[in-house]
Amino acid sequence: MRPELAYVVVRCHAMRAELLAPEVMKALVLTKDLGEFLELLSQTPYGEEVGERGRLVSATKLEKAFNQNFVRRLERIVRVCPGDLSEFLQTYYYMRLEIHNLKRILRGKFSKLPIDRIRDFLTSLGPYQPVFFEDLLMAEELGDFISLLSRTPYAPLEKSLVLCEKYDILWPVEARLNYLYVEAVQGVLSKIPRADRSRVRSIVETEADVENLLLAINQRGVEKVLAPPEGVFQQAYGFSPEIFKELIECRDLGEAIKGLASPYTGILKPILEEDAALVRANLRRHIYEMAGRMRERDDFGFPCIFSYLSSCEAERGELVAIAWGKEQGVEPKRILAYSVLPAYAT
Amino acid sequence: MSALSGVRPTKGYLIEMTKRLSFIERGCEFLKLKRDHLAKELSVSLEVLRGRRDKINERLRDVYEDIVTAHLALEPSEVKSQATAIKKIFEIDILPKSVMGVRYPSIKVISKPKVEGKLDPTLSKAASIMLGIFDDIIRLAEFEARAERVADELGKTNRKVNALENIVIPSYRQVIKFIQDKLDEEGLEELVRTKLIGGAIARRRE
Repeated sequence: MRPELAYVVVRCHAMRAELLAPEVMKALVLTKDLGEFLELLSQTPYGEEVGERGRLVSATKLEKAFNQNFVRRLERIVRVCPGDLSEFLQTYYYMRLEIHNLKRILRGKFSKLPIDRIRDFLTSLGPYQPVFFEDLLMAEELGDFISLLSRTPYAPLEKSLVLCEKYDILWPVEARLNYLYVEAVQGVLSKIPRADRSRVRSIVETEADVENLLLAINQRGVEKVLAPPEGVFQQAYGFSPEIFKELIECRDLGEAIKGLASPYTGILKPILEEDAALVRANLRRHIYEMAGRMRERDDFGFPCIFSYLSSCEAERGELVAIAWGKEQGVEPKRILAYSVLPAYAT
Repeated sequence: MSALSGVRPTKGYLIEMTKRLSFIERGCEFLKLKRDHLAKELSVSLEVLRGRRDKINERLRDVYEDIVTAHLALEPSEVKSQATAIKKIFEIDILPKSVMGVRYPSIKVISKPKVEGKLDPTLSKAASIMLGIFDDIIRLAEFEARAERVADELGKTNRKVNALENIVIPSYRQVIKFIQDKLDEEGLEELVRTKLIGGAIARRRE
């Protein structure tokens, strides 16, 4: 093993101790309210975060704190990673967050939201925040936004943005962003060990496919599908791209989903009961499990880093959901239904 | 001040007072009819309101469940961000309408936001149902405003009928009775005086 990789692996193993144990997570889910949740959370490595922001903060503020915590953990790993791995992780994680932010800026610009409100939805990426984001935020018209993107890695979005302007819809851009993400990750797969490439490729491709399938299913029943699906969904990784059009137009969604290969059928099954939320939970569980399986195979190489960061990401999502659930008085059973970490969810 | 102050006990005044009284009595009858109609309208409205409110509450509870699910799956900031992507907002116009002379606001929906296929599928269903509920909420608000105004008018009409029945009409009757008594008394005096004069003339002739 390369010595610099050994250092990151040891750091990941050490930092794994900061992750919340399943029993702590379960206790957090079972707390009575947000006050009790914060009290319990203050006894964990998140104590500093909760203490910093004063007592009984809102779930919105907590979401930001959890996001920042994840970005900090990510940065601590990326900073010490060997160049090639660092490049991969930057693309895999930072670009994902960047795309999240981009989608939110785009939505804000689309509906002419004030800049401060759009900024409020964004996750700060620290030193990895692209400089052009500030310019994008300042863009007054969607046209300016498009021209600003032409000088960035998101330049291929231009065609979809034209569609978005023409038909007054945003989903073609979101679909294109999903493709751009996969293409970018595929481009840096050579930076990780050969043995892990196929699993990582499968994870990103499945994720993009499921997101795009959801976008397609969402167009079912819409009186007039404005943007031609074949123009938007140009590619699928685990099945034929024609499936997208079929899903929009077919009568029996169940049959169409059954026709998809594994793992899509299992992940998408809840959509038949109109539970898209469970589809997303299934997708997250699938990614989490895949990362876990990679780690089982090799706990002292890249899979250890990847699995640690996947756990961090899953933990962040769980904590955001629990905090919001506690603020709204949602029953623990319902929070657990959409939970990802299986150790306490089952 | 007494109702009788300033009353002129003349026949002309009596005729005028009688005319006024019959006009007021007719007005009072009309007001009673209006009161009954408004009361009927209000009781029907209240029943409908109760039913509609329960239905809306039930549907809102269902939508809330979907919104909770969306928040759990998508995270609150993503839900808010998605919600802001809906460009068009509700545009309404408020026009006056009238029932039994009672004006109430009537709400006309000019344009509605279109959410089909524009939001994440997790939110899409909740948003479409919510949009449908908005229509019902607007109709309910309109109905509530109508019921409120009808109740208000009913109170006013009731007070007017009570005032007419218990104060105005009795005072007019009192005035008419006073004038009639006065005129009867004067008539009797006149008769006695005529009799006395007639007697005196007859005695003088004898």
